[in-house]
Amino acid sequence: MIIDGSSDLICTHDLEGRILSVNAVAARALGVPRDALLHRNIREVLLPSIAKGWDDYIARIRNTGSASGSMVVRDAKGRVQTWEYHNTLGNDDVVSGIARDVTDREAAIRAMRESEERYRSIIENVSDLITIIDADATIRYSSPSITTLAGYTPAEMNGCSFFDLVDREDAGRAVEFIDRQIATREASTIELRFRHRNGSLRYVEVIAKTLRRGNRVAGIIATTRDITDRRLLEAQLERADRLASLGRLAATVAHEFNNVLMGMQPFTELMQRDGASRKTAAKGAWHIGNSIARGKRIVQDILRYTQPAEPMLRSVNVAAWWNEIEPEIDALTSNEIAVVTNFADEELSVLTDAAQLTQVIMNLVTNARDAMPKGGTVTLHARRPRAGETFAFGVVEHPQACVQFSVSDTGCGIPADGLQQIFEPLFTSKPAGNGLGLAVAHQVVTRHGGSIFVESTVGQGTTFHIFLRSGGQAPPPVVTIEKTLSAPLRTRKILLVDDEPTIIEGVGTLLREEDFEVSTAASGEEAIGMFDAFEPDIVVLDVGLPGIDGPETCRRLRATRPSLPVIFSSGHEGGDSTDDYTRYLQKPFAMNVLIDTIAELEAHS
Amino acid sequence: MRRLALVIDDDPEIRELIAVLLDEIGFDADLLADGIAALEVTKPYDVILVDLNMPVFDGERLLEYWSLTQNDLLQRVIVLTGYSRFTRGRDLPPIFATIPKPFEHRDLLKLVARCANNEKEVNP
Repeated sequence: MIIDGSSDLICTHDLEGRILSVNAVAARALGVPRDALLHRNIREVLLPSIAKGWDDYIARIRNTGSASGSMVVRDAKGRVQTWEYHNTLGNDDVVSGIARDVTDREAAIRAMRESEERYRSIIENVSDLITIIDADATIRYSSPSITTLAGYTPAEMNGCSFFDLVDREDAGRAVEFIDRQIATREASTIELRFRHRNGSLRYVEVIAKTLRRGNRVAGIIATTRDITDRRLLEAQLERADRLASLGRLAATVAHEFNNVLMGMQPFTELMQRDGASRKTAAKGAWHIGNSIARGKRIVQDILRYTQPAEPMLRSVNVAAWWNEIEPEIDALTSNEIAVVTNFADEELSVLTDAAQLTQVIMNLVTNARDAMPKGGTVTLHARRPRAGETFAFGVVEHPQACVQFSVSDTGCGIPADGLQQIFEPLFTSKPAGNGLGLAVAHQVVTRHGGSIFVESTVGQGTTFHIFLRSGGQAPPPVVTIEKTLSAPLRTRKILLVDDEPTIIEGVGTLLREEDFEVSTAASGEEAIGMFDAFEPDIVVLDVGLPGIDGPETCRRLRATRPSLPVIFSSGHEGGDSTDDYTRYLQKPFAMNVLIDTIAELEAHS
Repeated sequence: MRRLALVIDDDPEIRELIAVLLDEIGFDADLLADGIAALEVTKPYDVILVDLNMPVFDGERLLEYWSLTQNDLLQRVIVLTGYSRFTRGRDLPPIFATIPKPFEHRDLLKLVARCANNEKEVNP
């Protein structure tokens, strides 16, 4: 029975393969008219390779009454199609077949299999180890490279922990790394040591990327590269570098000392001549003494660099220090060089080893002098940078807590390619330089916990900037931290107005720790601007604000709220409290004093 | 008749510059890079130009050395003074003249000519 309405391919044939009936769908699929198909043998449309299995097929049909599978046919245009069939044997030895064209599906599956194989072959053939691990670091897959890298087969490692590969000393870091990796969407990298099955250490670089399904962590892909050879090479280079710089140092020292010794020799020969006069002896001795002094200076330079003295940090007043060393600096320069200085700020003090700082400044001035053989100007000054100040030449953390020393010249400048090496020992562009001056400067500043920067324009000059921590009367606001245990206050919101960022930060933090809600303003204008929106219970107001000063700010705020409690803070002796809403505190004040004052104002309101 | 000059300076550019300048006014110049090479002076130089700052045997040493060995050379010496923390304020032995670096070419040549001529006048 043939149903033409079906989308399936339907036909009947006898046990010899003669086609007895066929539906329109099948005829169309083969591209042959229905009539022409009748009485042809079905084996003619099968691919020859498939037709060979005909006897088996008939045997199956006979034995079991049905057969199914896929067959491959060739249509009239020669196109090959795959049909999935299910054929059954009827009583009259007629086989009824029903089939479906699955050519497209087959092709898709084949393509997928091929691309999978391609990826697999890439993964299995790269020298990097690729592992897929669970969130708990259990290995789900590892590529064959694991055998080279760790000495285990992929099958052995399946189900083991990724951390089993890592050397015990690095295990902690590896665990942290995976934990961190799970929390992020970015790929991240770590260098670890793997312990090979044979006991040897391998240096590896691991790049991990988390696989996510929605918000769930589905696993982590870790790509591990063996960098042992690179590491060894680096270590070798480092050693070679050290040897080379030792060689350079030795050559410099030899050269310098040769000069010193040769400077003495002619005089010793004069003094040894028969009948050498007392005058000859005296002059000769003087010059020999001079050479010895020069030799000592070289030794000191080298020792200072190779065995640097630990800086004895004290708070040093910059103006006083400069007065002391100015004659020494002057002696370094000639009449052709003008020295312009500004160390006038009496307030400025710096945490330093004064002798070492002097050495650094002398080295920089010597360099400045040598950069200006035809004369010029050396400018030296010291200043306190502003909070949040930025510099074109580098990043300075907490600039307001530093003192900045600058030494500029109007000399030849340094080409950009020289700037990078300028602080390296034995790098020198001067015929008579020993290459230690800036190296010593850099070392001293670094050991002070400070930083040194250079900016230079060829033909215009060079400036060195040194940042050292400021010393002494440490940044103005000394706020004593004393937690108070007074009765809870009603005051909740405090507006803190001060132009000194350190006060804002310090007092603000302490007040917040006392559970106040604090807003801050750096000027009277800012305070007035935010007053209505913030609605503070109390205002702590610096007297000496720039622009609209403290008292004027207070007047304007009280124009809207006449009984607004205000605490004036001032660097000077406070005024008298003239009313119940106003108090004066002298900076620096202890926290408990401020809290007490707030309580006092509350009591009156 | 060409005259003879000795130039001792560790800066090769300055040595060459001075040689060219002297050549134009009729001097042949011997050039040395350090005082250590000029301890024994054997030629009858009309003028000797000495730099103060030199790496091995600086100008001051050289003049002192000559004052002990060939004192009569000093009257033909012109010292080129640059900056120097060693010599500023210290007295050099009596010499013909000093000229500060950098110098005007004209001034140097005038001084050289006078030095060479004085020599001739004193010792014809």
